[in-house]
Parts: sequence; structure tokens; C-alpha cells
Amino acid sequence: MKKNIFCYLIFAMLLQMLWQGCSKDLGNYDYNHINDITIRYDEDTFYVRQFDTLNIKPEVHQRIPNDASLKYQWYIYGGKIVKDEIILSNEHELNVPIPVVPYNIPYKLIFTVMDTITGVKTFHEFKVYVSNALSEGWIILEERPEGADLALIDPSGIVLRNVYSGANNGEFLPSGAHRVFSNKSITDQNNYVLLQDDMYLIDKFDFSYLGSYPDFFYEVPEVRNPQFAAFQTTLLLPPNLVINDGDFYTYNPLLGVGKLGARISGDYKLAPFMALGTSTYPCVVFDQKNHRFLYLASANATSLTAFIPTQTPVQPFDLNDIQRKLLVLDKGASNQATAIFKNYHNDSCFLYNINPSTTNHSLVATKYQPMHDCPDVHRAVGYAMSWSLPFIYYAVDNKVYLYDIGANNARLVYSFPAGENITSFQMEHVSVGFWIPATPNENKRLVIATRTGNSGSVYYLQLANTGDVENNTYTHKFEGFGPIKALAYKVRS
Amino acid sequence: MRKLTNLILICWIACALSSCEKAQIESYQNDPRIHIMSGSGGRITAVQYSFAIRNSSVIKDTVWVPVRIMGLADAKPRKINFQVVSSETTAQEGKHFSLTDYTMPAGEYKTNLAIVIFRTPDLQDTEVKLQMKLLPSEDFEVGVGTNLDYSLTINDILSKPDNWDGTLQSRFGVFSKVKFRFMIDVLGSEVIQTITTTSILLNELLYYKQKVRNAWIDYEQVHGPMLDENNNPITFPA
Repeated sequence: MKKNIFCYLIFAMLLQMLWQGCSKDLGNYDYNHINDITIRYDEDTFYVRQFDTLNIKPEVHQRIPNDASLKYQWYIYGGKIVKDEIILSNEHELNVPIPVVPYNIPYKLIFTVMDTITGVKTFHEFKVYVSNALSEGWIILEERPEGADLALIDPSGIVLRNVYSGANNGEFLPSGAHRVFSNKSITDQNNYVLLQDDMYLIDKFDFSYLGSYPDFFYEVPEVRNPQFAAFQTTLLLPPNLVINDGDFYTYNPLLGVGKLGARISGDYKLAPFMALGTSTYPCVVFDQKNHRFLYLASANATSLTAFIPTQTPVQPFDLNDIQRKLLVLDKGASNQATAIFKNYHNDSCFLYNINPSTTNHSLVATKYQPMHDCPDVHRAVGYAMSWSLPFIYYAVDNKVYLYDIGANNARLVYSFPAGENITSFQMEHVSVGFWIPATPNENKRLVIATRTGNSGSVYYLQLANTGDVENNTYTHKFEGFGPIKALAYKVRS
Repeated sequence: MRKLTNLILICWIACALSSCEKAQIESYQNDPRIHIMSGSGGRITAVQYSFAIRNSSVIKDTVWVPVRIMGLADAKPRKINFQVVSSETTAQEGKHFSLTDYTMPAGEYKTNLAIVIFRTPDLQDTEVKLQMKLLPSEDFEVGVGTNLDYSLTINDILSKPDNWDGTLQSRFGVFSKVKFRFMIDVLGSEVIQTITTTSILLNELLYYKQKVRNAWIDYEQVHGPMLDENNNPITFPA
């Protein structure tokens, strides 16, 4: 009997389930409108520079107006943001600096409106192209009470201060920072700040710190004394070239990930200069231990090589025997490398020219002359070679001189007021082959940092074709810096 | 039907109650025993040691044999009887190796037994073997039977790495034992093991090449030409 009751129960349950499944939906519901939200806007693509403030206030239309029930959010993603999106604002009106790094693909800026009553979200996607505010211009290394910092004067003359500390959570560079290199190669751009016993690599987009000696070397040199850092633009050599304490190091990122290797072989102690180019000998250096010029022969070279000229033709000078102190070695006019040496025992200076484009060692040494009528050239704070004309500018105290190589004499081309002394000195020139285009002021602008008390200023002197300063005055003056230690032109990244 | 339901109910309650009974944990009651520990990759009772890839300054080294006990730790040190099996050993005690008195420290369940081995000239030509065995002592019986024997072969024989011709020759030139020995001294055994057994970044390999080349140049400036085992001059490619 009980077994039958059990079976009936099961049968009743199955019948109910079947009935429910077959019941017809009559569709006799009551529909109520929810608060439909529409976002309206004038434009949906924006072009900003990094750190610029972007201001957008789209119109928000509601079917049932009730502003109090709305919640807003702006966030940005895509581009170089590899992980989560970045929330920019929770206001209706966006009015914030754009914090993302520059990128050639637009970021997606999402505006979301949520009706808190229904929970329904409405959104619109804007496109934002972010270009680099720190892309190009003169990098200024200045001393500050808290340490050292970098500033940038962009090509339009806008001065951006605190670009290093601003990008590094308020951290300053160590106060021993004394030199800046901004080097561009075929593959990349490296910006270095040299310290007393280290070297910082700075991000080319936002100037954030990227690394120091342990990051650059497989084996950090025993004596840490960074002197020169280059990033070559030719395929003939490894792009990364560094002189540390007179020793030469290379690293070729074209061969993959890596670091600077062991010291390049040879019996040498280099002066802290490289003459760089794209010719047969793209990197010429001077060995002050053995008083000779050397070059790096190839991308795979494990040693520095000496020039071996023959006895004929008669050499203007002996490339392997210069018993003088090197004051400067740099690329000069006509793609020649130019050097100024000084006697050890007196202040007499001498000009040497090298042709790094010839394949014949006997044609490398091209010019030698004792420098006449060059006031104080031996104690200049800086030398700047013109790449277009055979001129060398040098700065002593508050004066700028032009040494005319052809005429073999120097003339004063500009004086700052007494007490305003020059601390750093550069020519604006960056072009390398077709890889790096010239700036509008290529070889026509001297950029000079001066110091008065504890204040630093930067001047632009525009140069005429004669080599003199146009109108005998500066075209731009930028004030308000601390004492300036170094200048370097950063090409577009 | 009711009987069946009741039966199921009783069984379920019985199962539930039985699972709540407190179990007595059985402790080890036998004699304390000892055996060589098994590594994660299996037993480590046979080891080959080569001085060849060690720096030339390494004239002796210590091989550690890990052992553990069965049973409880004791408050006093206990003697371990780890003996040479003379019939299976070609290495000479005092010349190729030396042993010591072995104990299990107080309060410990495991320890490492030291075998000091010596780099002798004859190892450059001949490999010697040391066969050891754990035997009962006054404090321990022997443990797991398959983990009582320990075989150590020792040599100083340099051989050409398998990847020399394929990878290393283009960076370091023609192989010779003297050259390889020099590279070991300059780069260290860890780097040598890395570059001879694995594929590394090209820039890292170039760094090692430059480092060895610099050391070779320095060597020749002091000592003159470096010659290989057949008196041929050694060179490293530029």
C-alpha cells in the first residue's frame, strides 16, 4: 500500500513539472521606461602632449532627468598601458593632466555614466593621441639645493623644469652629476647623466630613471669613473660605446639583449673623448698613455687598432706620437675629426685634423698647426666645433671666441657682463646621415649656460655665415635655473 | 520498507560515530636506523666528481653525503659507521681522499658526512673510485637496504665539450686542453658549465670571449707565448 503511495507521489511531481513546462506565456506585462542616458559630444578624437591637461565635458541627456542619481567615471587604457586601465576622474567634466606616456597608437579614453537607481551604465569611447612634451630640445643639467635635476627647453622655447625629479617621485639626481649625453642610434635613443662614480640612463619619453652601472655592465669596472657615453648611429660599430676610467667598453643591442662586455683589449688609457661619425673609422679615440690615436675597427672588434701610415706621403703629424695633452677631440667640419692639444710644459695649443673617411692610413692625418692668437684657449670651459664651417668656438670666463682654422687666429664674438661666467657651452647640431635630420638651427646656434652667483641662465646665440653672432646679441635668454653643469640636445624620440 | 529505511539510518549513524574516534598515532618502536638520503631525482648514492672544470687553484674539495635516521632524535651525539669497501675502491686514503669520524649531532634527524678529496696529478690520466658503505654502529642499525652504498668516482680529466665545434669554436678558437683549462681559470667553473651545456645570449658569450682574450693578452705579456699540450701556440680570435 505504502509502495503505491510512493509511486503516486513521484507521478504527481512529474505531472506538475510537465504542466509548468508547457504553460503558455501570455505576455501581459506592464512596461515602465527606465532613465535612458545619451552622451553627446562635439569631437571624439583629441591630440595632447604628455602631461597636458585635457578638458572634456560631454553633454549627458536623460529621459528622466535626475542628475543626483548619476555617477561618472573617466578612465584610459590601450596604447602603452599594458595592464589595468588608469582612472582619471569621477567628475562629469574631465579636467586632468594626461599621465600616460607618448605613443603613436591612440589611447582609449572611456567616459562612463551610471544611473545608480537602475545600475545601467552608458559609455562613450574617445580617442586620445599622446605626443611627447619631452621629445626634443635642450636638456639642462642644473644644481638645486636638494640635488641635481634636469630641465628641458623645447624647440618652441617652452621651458619644462624638474623633469627628472617630476618623473621619479621627487627624487633628485645625486649632486655630483656633471655631464649629459643624449645619443640616438638607428635602433633607439639613450640619454645618460654622468655622476662621479655612476651613470644613469633616463627614459627618452618621460625622463624616469631606467638604470645605472650594474644594469649596463656584465661586470662593473673596479674603478667606476664614467667619462663618455655614445650611442652610435652606424651599423659598422656596436651602438653602445662607453669610456670608463680610460677603458673602452662596447655593447651591441643589434645582437640581442645584453650589457656592456669586458674591457676592449689593448695597452691604452683613453682621454675622455670620442670623435664619432659614419665613415670608415666611425669612432676615433686618443690613447693618452701611449700618445696615439686609435680606432674601433668593426662591430666585432675586440681590440682598439692603431693607424699604421707609411712614410710617404709625408704625414702632417705622427698619429702615433703626440706628446701633448688632449683638450678636445670631436667631429668638426667636412666630417673631419678635430683635436686641440696643449703642451705639457706651457700653454701653447695645437690643432690636429684627422680624416676618418679614408681607407688609407697614410691619408688619415690631414692637418697640423700651432694655434696663434688664441687668447686663453688652453683654459676654455668648453669647445664647440662647427660641422659646416672650419670654425671652433671656445668659451673662457664670460667670453666666447671663434677660432678660424683657415686664418689660424681667434676673435672675440661675444661677451657676457663681467661676473656672469660661462659654465657650459654647446653648438646645436645633431644630424647624422639620413637617420637623424638636422634641426632648423643646425650649426647656426650656440647654446651657452652662464652663472651669476647661484643662478644659472641659458642663452641662444644665432650665428651668421661669417661665424659671428648675429646682431651681436642673443636671441633667447632663459633664466631662473640653478647653476648649470651641462647641456645636451635631445633629438626627437 | 520501514526495515530497510531503519537499517540505512543505523548504518549511517554508526559510520558517523566511528569517524569521530580518536586515533592513536603509532610511533617508531624499532632500533634507530640510518641510511643515505634520497634526492628529489632519486637516490644519490653514486656521484662522479671532476676537478677538471674547477679552477686550477682548487687542490682539494669536500663531497657531502647526506644521511638521515629512522626513529627519533636523541639528546646525545650518536656514532655513524661509514666505511670504505676496500675490495671495490681504487682511490687511496690519504692521497685521493680522507675521512673522519662521523656522528649524528644531538637533536638532529639528518646530517652530511664529509669526504675530503684531493687533486693529485695522476687524476689527469686516471679516474679513481671510492666505494663507501653504511654499517651498523653502536648507535644505529642500517636503514633502507638500497640506500647504504655510496660510490664516488674522482678525476681531473679535461674533455672537449660537446658544443665546442658548434658554438664555442667561433668565439674561442681551436680546442686544446691547456686553452680550456685557462678558460676555466678565467671564467670559473659555473660559467664554464653554463656555456658548455646551455644556450646563452650572444652578447653574454661575447663578454666571456672578451674577458678570456684580455686575460690571455695579460698572460702572454708576463709569461710569453701560451702553448698547448702539443707545444702549439694558443690564440684566441680577435
